[in-house]
Amino acid sequence: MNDKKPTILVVDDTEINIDILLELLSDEYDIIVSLDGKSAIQSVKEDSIDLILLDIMMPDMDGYEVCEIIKSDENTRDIPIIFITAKTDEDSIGKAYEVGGIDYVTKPFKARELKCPYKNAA
Amino acid sequence: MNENLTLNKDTLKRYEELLLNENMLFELNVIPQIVVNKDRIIIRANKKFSKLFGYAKEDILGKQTIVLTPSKEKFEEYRRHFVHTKDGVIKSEELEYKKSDGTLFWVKLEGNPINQQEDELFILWSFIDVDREVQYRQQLEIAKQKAEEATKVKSEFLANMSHEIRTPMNGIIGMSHLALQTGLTQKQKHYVQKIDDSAKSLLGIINDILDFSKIEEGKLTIEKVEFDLFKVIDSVINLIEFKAHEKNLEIIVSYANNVGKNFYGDSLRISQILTNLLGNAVKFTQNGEIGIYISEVDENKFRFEVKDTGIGLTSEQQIKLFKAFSQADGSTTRKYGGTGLGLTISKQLVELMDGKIWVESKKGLGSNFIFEIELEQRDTQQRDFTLFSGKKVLVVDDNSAWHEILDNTLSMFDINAEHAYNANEAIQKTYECESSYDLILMDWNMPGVDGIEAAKMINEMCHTCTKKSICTRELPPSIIMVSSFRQESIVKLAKDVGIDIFLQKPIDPSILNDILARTFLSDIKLNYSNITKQSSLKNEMSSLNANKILLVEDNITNQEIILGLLENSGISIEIANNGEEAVEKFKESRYDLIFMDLQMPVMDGYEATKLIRDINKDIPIIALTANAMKEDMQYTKKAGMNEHLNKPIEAEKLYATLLKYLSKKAIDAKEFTHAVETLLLPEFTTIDTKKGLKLLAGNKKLYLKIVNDFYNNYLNLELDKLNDDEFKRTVHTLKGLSANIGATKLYEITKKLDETQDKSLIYSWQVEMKKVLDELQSKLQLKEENQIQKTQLPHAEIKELFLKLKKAARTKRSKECKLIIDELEQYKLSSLDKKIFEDVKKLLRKYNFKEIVEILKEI
Repeated sequence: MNDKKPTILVVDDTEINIDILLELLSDEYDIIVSLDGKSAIQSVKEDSIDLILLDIMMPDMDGYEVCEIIKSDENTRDIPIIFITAKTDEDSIGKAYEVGGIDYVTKPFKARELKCPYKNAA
Repeated sequence: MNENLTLNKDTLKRYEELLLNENMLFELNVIPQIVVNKDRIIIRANKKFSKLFGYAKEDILGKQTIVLTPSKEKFEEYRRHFVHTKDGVIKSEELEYKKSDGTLFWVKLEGNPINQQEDELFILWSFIDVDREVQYRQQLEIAKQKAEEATKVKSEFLANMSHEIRTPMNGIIGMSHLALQTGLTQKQKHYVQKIDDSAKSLLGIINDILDFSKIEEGKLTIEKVEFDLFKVIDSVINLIEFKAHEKNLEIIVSYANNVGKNFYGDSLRISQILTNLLGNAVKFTQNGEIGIYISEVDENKFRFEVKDTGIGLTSEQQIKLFKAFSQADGSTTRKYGGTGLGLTISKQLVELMDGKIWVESKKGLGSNFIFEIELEQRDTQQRDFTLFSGKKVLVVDDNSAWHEILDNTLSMFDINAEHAYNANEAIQKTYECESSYDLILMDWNMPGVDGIEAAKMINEMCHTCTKKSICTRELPPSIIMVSSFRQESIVKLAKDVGIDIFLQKPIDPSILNDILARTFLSDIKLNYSNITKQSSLKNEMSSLNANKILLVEDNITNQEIILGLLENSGISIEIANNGEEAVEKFKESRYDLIFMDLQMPVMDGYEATKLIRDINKDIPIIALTANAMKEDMQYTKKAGMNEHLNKPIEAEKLYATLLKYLSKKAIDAKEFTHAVETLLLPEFTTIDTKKGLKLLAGNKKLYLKIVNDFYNNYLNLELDKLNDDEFKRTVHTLKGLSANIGATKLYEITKKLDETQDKSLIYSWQVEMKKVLDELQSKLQLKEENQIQKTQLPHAEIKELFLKLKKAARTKRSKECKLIIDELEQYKLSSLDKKIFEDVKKLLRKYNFKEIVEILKEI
């Protein structure tokens, strides 16, 4: 069995969200943190990532765009992406799937909801 | 076309007769018409009329027009609605008429008198059918009313909801405030701080919504009071200062020299607008400066400008900026949060003050938000400070904007300043100046030689000056350090070179006045503490410690907050859980003041107040409520309450209220043991905290400090390894200290040890000492940093750790960085390394790995 923890890339521009995600996940997963899309794409290229938790509303480049870029690259297109979002309207969620997301989690986070999906994905 | 076709005269005449036949024209007219005589009897009616009203001609002729109106009353009333124009035409507004089948509909009437025979008057009435238009309009009106009603209901709902939200918010903010004052671990403190920050920002949003809905409902009014503008600006700056300094932004406050200090207007709303605009300025500015500029544009009309060097706005963005719920950038990639209500509220507030607000901005260059309001200036003569005219002042600052502002401010005092833009220039000018300067205002933060170094050099130069014969001054010029940052370390450095006075940017003219007065009018130099802002009112609370308060509140959290905030005051507090209990307690006991919640089970605050007022008219009763509405204040006043404290309760307001209503009576510390009981200390088995506290006059802070010191000083004490002298001294000190903290049993053993010096007692002493220390550690979260003894590590190894940290930061792994930071925390670091280390820690909290890598580049 591989002892190495799965690596999750958390992309969110809000400090407090990262605080919470780290607190909930960092015991079981190796967490990489990006505050914006550009540095997330860089991390995806440099590191071996098993799952991406991606915020939608971010400065400069939004989550959809980040997802599209990752999905358009042959080397990174298979990394599962789960959107984390405060938007619960159908359009936003529909778009999340459209651009290649496999799931979404709404804010504010609920610890249990947050921990479930990655068991399968990561 | 046949151009030769003409009509002969006979034919023409026949046509004319035919056409002149009124009857035919009347009949064919597309406008419904009737002719009535002077008794309003219909004598003729055309086809269109018959069609419109549904009457056959024979049925209507000979009847009075009353049959066309809905009722007799209307028939009479309508006569009053006819207007006679100059050319004799009679016109009506829209009136309701009746068809033959009884249907009502709307028409407009025009009457033309026909006076063919002298004794008979006829009127030709034309009817214009406006029924459809009126119906549409009525529908529109109903829809509009409904919409307005819905908006009103929505606003009321928002106001009520905001109030409902404020109640639990009180619990969150109050409790996190109290939790932050207890001994928390760094991690806990970090968490609670985040809760506090988030709760406060949420409260800000709720307040915005509340304000917005109040304005929408027309419930917000402007209140005029006398106020001190300098103080208002100062408090606004205080609010945003921290965030601005975090971003290294310079804050500028500029008063044009015709702007005085005392005004009459709504200071609260002015500061709300300014806070909002300045908050935006900080938010949208990454580097450079933000500032408030105040000037008089007309008599009793003032202009406030909030300028920044931030991202600026395009003209399209400027257009929609002041609309509710809209922001310059509403996309998913928007960088800056917020509700988009701030500017709308500001605009509405400015308009309520009969003013206007607008923005001048260029994308990428910054913005200037300007508002002008009518504001009454009081006692303008106060502006003449001529006491200092003729004094020589040198301003040293690398920022030219500051020179301008200081020039402005100093000109209020009739002082023409000279200028230097760096330390060398300042030294040169001071050297060249024959009569020397009276005062130098020295910026601390300048490139190259900083202000402190420059001050030191000037002082040294003046002391060793060889020009003494020509220099008229015996003493070197007074130097005042001016800085945006009030750091204790800078203050200390400045004091070391003999600078006692510190002036904080932005400069408050009244503080500058005090400083100039004390510098020029006496030889006494001002202490830093004298010009810093007033300390918390909390310190004055102890002067009230003989008072007794009844707290009537059903919510335990809210009870705890008030108890917590008054914890150290010594004021004794009794609790009643509802109005009924309060009245009972009031009958049994004597109180100096009552805090009264309004909404409570069993009996509410209004009723309880009424019953208490029946017995006692004088006792101050302060309402505690989450209701911030003005009407509520009126209700509470009516019920006989003296004042209103809004939840979330702000500590300073609570203290101010108590200071206002309670008389200052303090009793000897030994007597108020009952006050000690309200303190929330954990129960100990090895320590009698009450005893310990009593010895310290109930000063819990001091007590905790002593306990903390006790723990840290004696944690690693090995009594059996001390030589006789050390043993004797240590045991003696320990005897006093153990008594002081209330460790009774430990005290007894230590006392015996002290008296007998019998080392066979050491074992039982060690057992008891361990018990005390263990209990202290488990029950009081003692300051972490004191527990760690930092060890020295070769520089190469420290460097290695920093390199590891850089590597971890490059991969953006926060946890890995943290582990290395924890390791580094254990070692002594050089001052440079420590600075880098502290910066890295700060950046890591913000997950700013890019900057961390940048900072660590040099290592």
